[in-house]
Amino acid sequence: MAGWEIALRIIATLVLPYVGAVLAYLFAHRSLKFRKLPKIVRYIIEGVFFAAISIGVGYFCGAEITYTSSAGVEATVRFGTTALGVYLAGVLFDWPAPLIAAGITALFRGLINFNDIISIAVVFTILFSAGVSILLKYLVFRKEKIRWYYAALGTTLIECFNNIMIFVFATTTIEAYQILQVVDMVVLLTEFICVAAVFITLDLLHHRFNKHLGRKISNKVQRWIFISTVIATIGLAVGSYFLTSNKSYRDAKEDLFLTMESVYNDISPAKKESTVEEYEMKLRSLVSNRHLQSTGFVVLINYDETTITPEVGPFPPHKIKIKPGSVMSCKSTMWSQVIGYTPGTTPDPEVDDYILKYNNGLTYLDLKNHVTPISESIDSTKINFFTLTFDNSIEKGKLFLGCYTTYHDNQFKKDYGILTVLSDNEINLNANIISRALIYSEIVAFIALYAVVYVLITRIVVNKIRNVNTALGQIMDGDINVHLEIKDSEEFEELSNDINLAVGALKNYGEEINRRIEDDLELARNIQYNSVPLIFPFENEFEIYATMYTAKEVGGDFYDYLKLPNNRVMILIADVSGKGIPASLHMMRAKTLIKSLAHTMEKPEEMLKIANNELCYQNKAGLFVTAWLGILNTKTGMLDYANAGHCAPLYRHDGQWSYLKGNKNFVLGGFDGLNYKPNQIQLAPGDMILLYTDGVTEATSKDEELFGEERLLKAVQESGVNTNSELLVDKICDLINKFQSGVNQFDDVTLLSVRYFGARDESAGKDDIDFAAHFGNISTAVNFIQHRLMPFQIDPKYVNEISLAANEIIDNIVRYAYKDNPNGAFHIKVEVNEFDVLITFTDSGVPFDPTQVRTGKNVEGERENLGIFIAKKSVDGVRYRRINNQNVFTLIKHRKKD
Amino acid sequence: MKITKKVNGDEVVLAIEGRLDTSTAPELESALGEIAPTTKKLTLDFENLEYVSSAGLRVLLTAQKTMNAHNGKMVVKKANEVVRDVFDVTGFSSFIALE
Repeated sequence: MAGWEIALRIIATLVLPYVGAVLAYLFAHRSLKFRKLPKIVRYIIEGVFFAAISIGVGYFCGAEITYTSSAGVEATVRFGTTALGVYLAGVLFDWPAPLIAAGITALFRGLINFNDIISIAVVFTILFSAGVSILLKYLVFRKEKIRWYYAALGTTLIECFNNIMIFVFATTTIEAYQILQVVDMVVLLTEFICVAAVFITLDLLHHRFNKHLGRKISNKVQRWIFISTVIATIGLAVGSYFLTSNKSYRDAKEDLFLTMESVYNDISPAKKESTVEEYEMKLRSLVSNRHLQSTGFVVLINYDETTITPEVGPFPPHKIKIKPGSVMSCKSTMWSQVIGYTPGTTPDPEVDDYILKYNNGLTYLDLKNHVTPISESIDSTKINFFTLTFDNSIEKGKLFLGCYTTYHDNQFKKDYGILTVLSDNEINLNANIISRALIYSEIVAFIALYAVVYVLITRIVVNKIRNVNTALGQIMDGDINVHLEIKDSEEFEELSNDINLAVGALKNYGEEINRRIEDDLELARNIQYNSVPLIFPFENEFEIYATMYTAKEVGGDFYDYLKLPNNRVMILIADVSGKGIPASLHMMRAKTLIKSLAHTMEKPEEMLKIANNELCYQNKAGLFVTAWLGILNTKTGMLDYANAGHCAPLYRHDGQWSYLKGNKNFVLGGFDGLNYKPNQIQLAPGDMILLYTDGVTEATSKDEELFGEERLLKAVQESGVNTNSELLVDKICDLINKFQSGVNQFDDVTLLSVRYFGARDESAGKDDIDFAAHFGNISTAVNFIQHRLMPFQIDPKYVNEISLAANEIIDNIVRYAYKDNPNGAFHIKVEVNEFDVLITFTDSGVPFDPTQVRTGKNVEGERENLGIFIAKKSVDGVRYRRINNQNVFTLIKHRKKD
Repeated sequence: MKITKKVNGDEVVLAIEGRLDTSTAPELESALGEIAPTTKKLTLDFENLEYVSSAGLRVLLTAQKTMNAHNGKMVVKKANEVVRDVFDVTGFSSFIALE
């Protein structure tokens, strides 16, 4: 084969599987159509594809190698990287693909191409590579990404296995050696490069490089095992090579010596002939057919004629001259091979003459690099070993090992030289075969050992460390309910027990801290909740009602009202950014500040300006406040207000609700020195204003829908003409609770409603009185209520209904509130305005919320708590509050029906 | 509260004035107790009754049960709107005959 063709084939061997594997991988992972196919179809397609690569590479790219068969004739064998396709299928795809590919390729190689000596070996290798690739992927790397160098190293394992198989199945080891000597390194390198290239390309395309590789214990272990395995393999290979070559060298020397000795022993007792010529003829025949391994030979030299003389220096000579006729005998073919004679060209047994002629009468044996001569005596004859290099044009540089001695014949008074020679090639051949086979086996053994050690270490140590790390990671992430259980080794069991103990202690400690924080938060919540007014004014001219639910124990919302001189009342709602303790502290600050400003200042916008400057001062937390501040003149109905970034309130006029837009200003606590723009609106009797914080409009349902302004507007619009502040606020709260049911309340929800009734006569409308909690006082108390309602010309039917409800409530207080305490008392407050009648009952008895009482029918069909049921049915609304350890219960009756 | 009692053979008419509530219910209870067991028809005239409370309803319920036991009949007459509403919402109107 020409050099360029070989090069071309090597390149094709590299490129074909490379391109095929990369394209197949990309196609299989990116084509949706392909991925939608049933698994089995995909496996078959992958398997067939890679079988095609294997066969293609093996037959169209493989090299043809010529070797001398054991029968002595030249034969050729095709040697290619047939198993590569199968291996690539295994490391890149799921396990059925390489099995299918291996089956097809092995059948093809075994059945169709079963005629050369490596076929059986290759079939084994194909199956082996499928197994190796599957094990590599599933056992060693456990479906994780295989690093390119490990993938590439797999081919080395397969190729070494292949070479061992060739040794096993070739007819003779020399044949195997002849083949492998040519291609083993080329094939090894080609496969390694090809697979490495495939993996590096895919890594680059998929950015599969893991940047933290070096930090993992498993990788470190992997690397060190790998390095020590490589060193051990190389060391063993070198060692075994030296050992075997040393041994074969010594064997060769022994062979040379023994052959020489046997020649000596043969010729010395040979029967003496009468003439020298006859005697020498006999000696020639003795020597000429002697074998010395397959290429070695024996030379008998006529020493008498001083044909061989050391030219310089003491024995052993560095150079020996052989004169015409001096070589008496040798195995002609071997000798001629040494000096370049082609066997079979001359049938003449007197080859030595021919040689001399051929070599122009003079042959030099150049003896250099002699080994330390072993001078042994055989019948007082010196024996000398040496290496020799033929200074011959054809066999130039070829190394031989020789053994030389002289022999003196007493009868004819003549000296003869005996020279035995072995070619270095032959000496080394065995060593080479053995060491090659050994190296292949060592590589296979070490790679297997490496894999086993790696897998074991991973299983025994690394995976457990990973479990520990995962558990610790979970703990670090705050999940302290982790329980770690590694039982199969004492060290890990101790470790996991210690971790569990530590986590347990941590858990207890954490719970203790949580409990303390919860207590503190509960306290804070109480303080905050009690800092906003819970009792609301119900005046002749106006009423106010508000409610606040905080999201996270303590929140940032607040509201306030303050009656000021000159018939003015301040109304405030605000929202501090953020939640929790910081927001609530800031809220307290803002609330106190604004309230104190209201005493000295008249205009909301000026109050906000000062408040803003104050709140900017040392506001390191960067908390800001949105606020709506209004001052209502209850005589004129004029409402001055200023809005600092707060959501626009709802305003009812003539029964129509709308958003009360107006000048908006920047939030408080953002930038100091800002001016705030005022707004003014004239309220008519019956007008209402509903203030709220963004927790209302931003309440979120399970479906992540916002409550929103439109829903709020619709809700207030549907609340009816006769609704009062309390009913309105409660209704919106109910709606929001229903809206966000099943979801954690995210933000504080605060609502404040103001209703303006118009200027009224101050003497009208309100009275209150205390009663002892006795049965006898029930009718007195009811009479008091009726009496107080008299001036307002309320529909008598309504008065009766109010009285009925009052009767039931008082009955309840007298009966149950004080149990056996005879000093119990209750308080009644009657409030009337243009729209509503409010009767409030206050007692200091046991906590009891009538609104929470069951009033359904029991199993016998009788109504439970009939009295409270009647009371609720007789009025338009009821309200219960527990304030300062008192039950505060209010009946609300509209003066007109909706 | 004021109770006026008229007896006409085995028919008794009780006219009740004022409020039938916790404090007055015992009065009606004793008045009903005095009615002869032979009474076949009991008429309660509620024309001037302002309202009836739960305590009053209990008395009415007892009266109705007593009359049922004697195979008698009980009728409530001229109840005002407030009283009717109470009867309606509490379900009493379904077993008390209202005229």
